[in-house]
Amino acid sequence: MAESLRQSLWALLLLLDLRFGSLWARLRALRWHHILRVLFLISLAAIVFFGIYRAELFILTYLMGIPELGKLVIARFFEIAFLLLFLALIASSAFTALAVLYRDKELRFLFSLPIPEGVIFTVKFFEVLIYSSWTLILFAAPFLMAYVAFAKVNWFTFWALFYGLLLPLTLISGCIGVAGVLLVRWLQDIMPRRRLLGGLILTLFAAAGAVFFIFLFSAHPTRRGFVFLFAQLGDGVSSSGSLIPHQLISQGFLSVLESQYGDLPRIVSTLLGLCALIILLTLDMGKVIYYRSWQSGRVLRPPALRQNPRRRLMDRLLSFLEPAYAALMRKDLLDFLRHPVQWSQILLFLAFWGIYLASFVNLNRYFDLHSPFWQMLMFYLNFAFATYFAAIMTSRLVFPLISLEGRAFVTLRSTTLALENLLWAKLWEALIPVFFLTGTMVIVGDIVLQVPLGLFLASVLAIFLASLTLTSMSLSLGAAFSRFGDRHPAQIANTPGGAYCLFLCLTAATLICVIFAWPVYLHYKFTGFHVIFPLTEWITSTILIIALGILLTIFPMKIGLRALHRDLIV
Amino acid sequence: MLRLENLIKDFEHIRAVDTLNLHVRPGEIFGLLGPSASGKTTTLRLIAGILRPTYGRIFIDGIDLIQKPRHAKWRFGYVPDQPFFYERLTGREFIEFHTQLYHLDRKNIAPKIDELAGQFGIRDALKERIESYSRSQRQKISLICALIRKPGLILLDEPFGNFDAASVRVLKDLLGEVAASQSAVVIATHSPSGLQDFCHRVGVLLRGRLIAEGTPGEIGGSPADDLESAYVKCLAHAEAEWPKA
Repeated sequence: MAESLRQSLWALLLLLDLRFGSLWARLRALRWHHILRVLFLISLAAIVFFGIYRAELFILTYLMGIPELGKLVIARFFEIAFLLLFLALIASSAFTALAVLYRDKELRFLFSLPIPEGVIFTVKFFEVLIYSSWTLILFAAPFLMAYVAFAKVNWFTFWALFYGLLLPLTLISGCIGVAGVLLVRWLQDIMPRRRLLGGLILTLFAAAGAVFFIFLFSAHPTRRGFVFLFAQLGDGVSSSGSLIPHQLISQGFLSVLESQYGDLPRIVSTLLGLCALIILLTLDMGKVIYYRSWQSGRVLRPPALRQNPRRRLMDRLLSFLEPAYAALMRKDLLDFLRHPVQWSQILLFLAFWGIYLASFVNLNRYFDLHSPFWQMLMFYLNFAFATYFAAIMTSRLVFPLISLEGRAFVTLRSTTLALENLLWAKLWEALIPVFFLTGTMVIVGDIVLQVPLGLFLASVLAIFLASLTLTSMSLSLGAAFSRFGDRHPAQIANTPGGAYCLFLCLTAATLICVIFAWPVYLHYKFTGFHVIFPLTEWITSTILIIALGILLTIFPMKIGLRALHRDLIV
Repeated sequence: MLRLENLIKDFEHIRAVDTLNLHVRPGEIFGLLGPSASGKTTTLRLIAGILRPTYGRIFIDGIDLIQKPRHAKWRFGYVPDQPFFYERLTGREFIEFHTQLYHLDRKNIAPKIDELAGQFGIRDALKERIESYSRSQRQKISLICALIRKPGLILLDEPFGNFDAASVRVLKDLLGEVAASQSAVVIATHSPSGLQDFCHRVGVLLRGRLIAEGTPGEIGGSPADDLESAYVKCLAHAEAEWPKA
């Protein structure tokens, strides 16, 4: 037993040493121009951090100023923020786990070594946790600092909050993501694909039926118990004994705000206990099913494919394009249709988009949308939300597009294909879905709010330009920071280049929102206070937005094209 | 058909190709021999436009590759040592994609794909995804992509390494036909076996420099030597004469 433990520990240290060795080698290989680029990136990150810090400080101060309701609103604000962070961390770790645990090429080598499979899983598990959470944690840091400054607590409390609350939340969500992926792969292994799909659909129907039944006939005491549980989960009306991580963490933050430190040890110990338990469970689960599920993935042979009517239709639609464009689009469509990992990311954004639209349609239940103030505020917030949605979507989905060409890019480079054609083809391919989602958000919002035609057209034009700009920036940065060796979109988006892209896209989105605020404000003055319509300002701001849109599209494309012409070492 | 003038390629502190001058005529099969890391693959990648030369010029059918890359690329087909594909496409889809990039019509090209795939024995595999292919099947797909257009120059990097004897025979016959139709063929390999009666001329690369060039008989200095012995002698002689750093 002791010998086996010693060997496992030795193997674990060896594998970790390999990771640190490769990181150290990469740092030593840095040249001056790399260091300058890193310094530029750090300065940009510092600006974004400061922006987040100031914005959150402003929000907290503003909310606290609301008479009687201040603390309650802050409590809800925290709960929503931590729920979003929790869900984002789970999704990010699930996507990363798919790449790191099942698609990494080094796994073939690792499993051929005399190292226990459990140790390999442990190393890979921590790799997933780090890769999936570092960007989000980086963004959460200024949020936490703003809170510390607002609550006027000391630095000891800051670190206590970080290690005692934020770190366990990261670990718990990471474990849930990894465990979910392990379970799905295990089910895939033991069940035929068709039966698995049928089982999933049946489970979903059964769950929906059960919820419907419980809410329809809630007179029985047992059903009332369920209703209470659902209400607790849904409304966040948690008792002090809640075990839901995002509620625990928001309770922790609030107890600091109210200087009730007595509650903090209980919350921190509950979170740490939960965290330890779930890590041990995931590690045990991985030891039992990981290697088997990885092996079963190796022996799956993709089925032979026949020409089907759907593809014939696609060929007809693409036949109007120039042959090279048509070939590229056909290839990308086929590749996307056969790459389920890409669907999962798209489905996540689609689900988010659907929930948002459904909530927006019901907005008139909460606000008086006939009042010019609420109409303009909601109109502007809807536009801003769609722009930030586009920034996050492009930096997650468009940034990896060039890298996903993989090593086959060597083949493309040796053909007559002009690389600018490749880049523009990718831009149009990516812009269509991005603009579809953001455009519908803005158009549906405008219809619900019944905004005037001028404002409607301005918002559609602005969101089109914003989508174009952000898609172009993400695509070009994806070319500049290309990683042709990685095959998984989530893995590519989690690289430093991906974080850089996210910073720049968020900055560009902020710039667009700031410029768009001007005509919206002028229009509000015109409708609310009946001043003369400010035509000159409107024309100026329109020209400014169009110029910015064109500049931020063409300039990054030039950079991306230059990057594509670099020496290709594979 | 192919002319290299004072070609140099530097990677950070390493000179991978050093002042390389070469001329391959139409209808000629040229063997580029050399040990590992001698610069063969880098030379072919420079000719294929994947890498940019640090210095020097590359002419393909008289067209400067740096000045007019698209025009020059119409004139050659490149088969890398490790062909890379879009793994989720089938073999047929990839070949069709590749030929469409050269504006060839998919319908017209289909019988030619079947014919070449039949010769290489992979017709049935064409409807399977590339991710399930073996190395040799991948190389055959890459060869079909290069041969189907009948370009004026074919560049092959280690083409025989993954093939069985029957496939090597088929490939040699096909390349012989290509050369007979006045196209040039450049084969880069570290192993001289099999090139003896096949190449019209060979060149030997060592540390990026062309140390010998001529017919297989001229390389070793003695016409009685076979290509393998001549190549080994040539390398040993060059190593002994190489200036010490």
